[in-house]
Amino acid sequence: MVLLDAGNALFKMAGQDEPALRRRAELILAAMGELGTAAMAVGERDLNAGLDFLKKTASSARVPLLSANLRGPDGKLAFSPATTASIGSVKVGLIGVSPASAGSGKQGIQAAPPVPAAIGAARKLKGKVDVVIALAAIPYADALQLAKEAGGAIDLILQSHEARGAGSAQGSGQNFVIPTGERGRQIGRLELDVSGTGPFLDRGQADRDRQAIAFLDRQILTTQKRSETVSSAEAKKSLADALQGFEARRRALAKNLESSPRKAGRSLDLTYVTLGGEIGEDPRLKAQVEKLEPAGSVVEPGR
Amino acid sequence: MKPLAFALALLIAPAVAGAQPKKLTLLFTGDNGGEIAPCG
Repeated sequence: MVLLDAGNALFKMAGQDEPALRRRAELILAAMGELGTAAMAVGERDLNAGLDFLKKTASSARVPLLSANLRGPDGKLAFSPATTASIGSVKVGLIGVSPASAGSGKQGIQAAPPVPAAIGAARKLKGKVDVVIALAAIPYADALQLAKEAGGAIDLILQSHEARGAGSAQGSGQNFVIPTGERGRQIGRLELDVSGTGPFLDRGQADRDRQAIAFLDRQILTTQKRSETVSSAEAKKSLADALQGFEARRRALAKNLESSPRKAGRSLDLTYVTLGGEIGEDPRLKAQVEKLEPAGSVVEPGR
Repeated sequence: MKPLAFALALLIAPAVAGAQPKKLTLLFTGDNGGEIAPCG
């Protein structure tokens, strides 16, 4: 098992840096360290209290921070760009990347363009590990660009920045972009089989395609029946257009299903665990949290 | 919603037990945004 964080763990919004929020950030890093977090990417909001605070706090918590593109006031890389972790016979390559906006000249921090920096770090790992994972604390659009330009140099891109929540693994042919949850509401879980070689297959995709085809079949039937009952030419045209769209989508999904390999070289299965009331609590950590934030002291509408 | 840190500790043990050769379980988070408590 490997525990990872894609960044933006420590502060809610950019610019926040009050002493109480620093204490929360310290507690979060301490908990991540105790849980054995293998690596965390440096997100823009993780830098709210400055480079020195982040580096010192993470170091004492033993949380390895990664960023292939952040440079400190001395012009040198502020963090390791990559690391590896061995679990049994599986070797995992991990790279971290931060957004261009993390620099903005504040406190002398400079951020090089994230995509080429991440690809450069990934290429150094390829061939030496079973899987290359980018912890990408960069905007979704940049993550998609990284997926496109990295090709097979990166296998999985775990993205954080806009708090997109949970979602499916978005495949680009050679790699996947995966959302990493938000606000501690869920934990992502990836079951990887790296026995073979080549791009990963999402084992859940075929099931989702079959469900989508079944849904489209119902829509097609409903639309055909409605078309028989309407009389105006305009309504008939509208329904015919909708039908055409449903049928085109169905053909595309059926083609996907036919072409998906029966046996993948490597495969993944993505799920999320929602942290609801059925999940127990660690009493010691709970006590630490309640010291910082007594129960009932904060109320947010709608939560 | 439960505090992230509380729940993670409880999820790790079964994942370790399920690990097999050339198979790997990754647990991951992101965009926690400073959350330490349900209404924090």
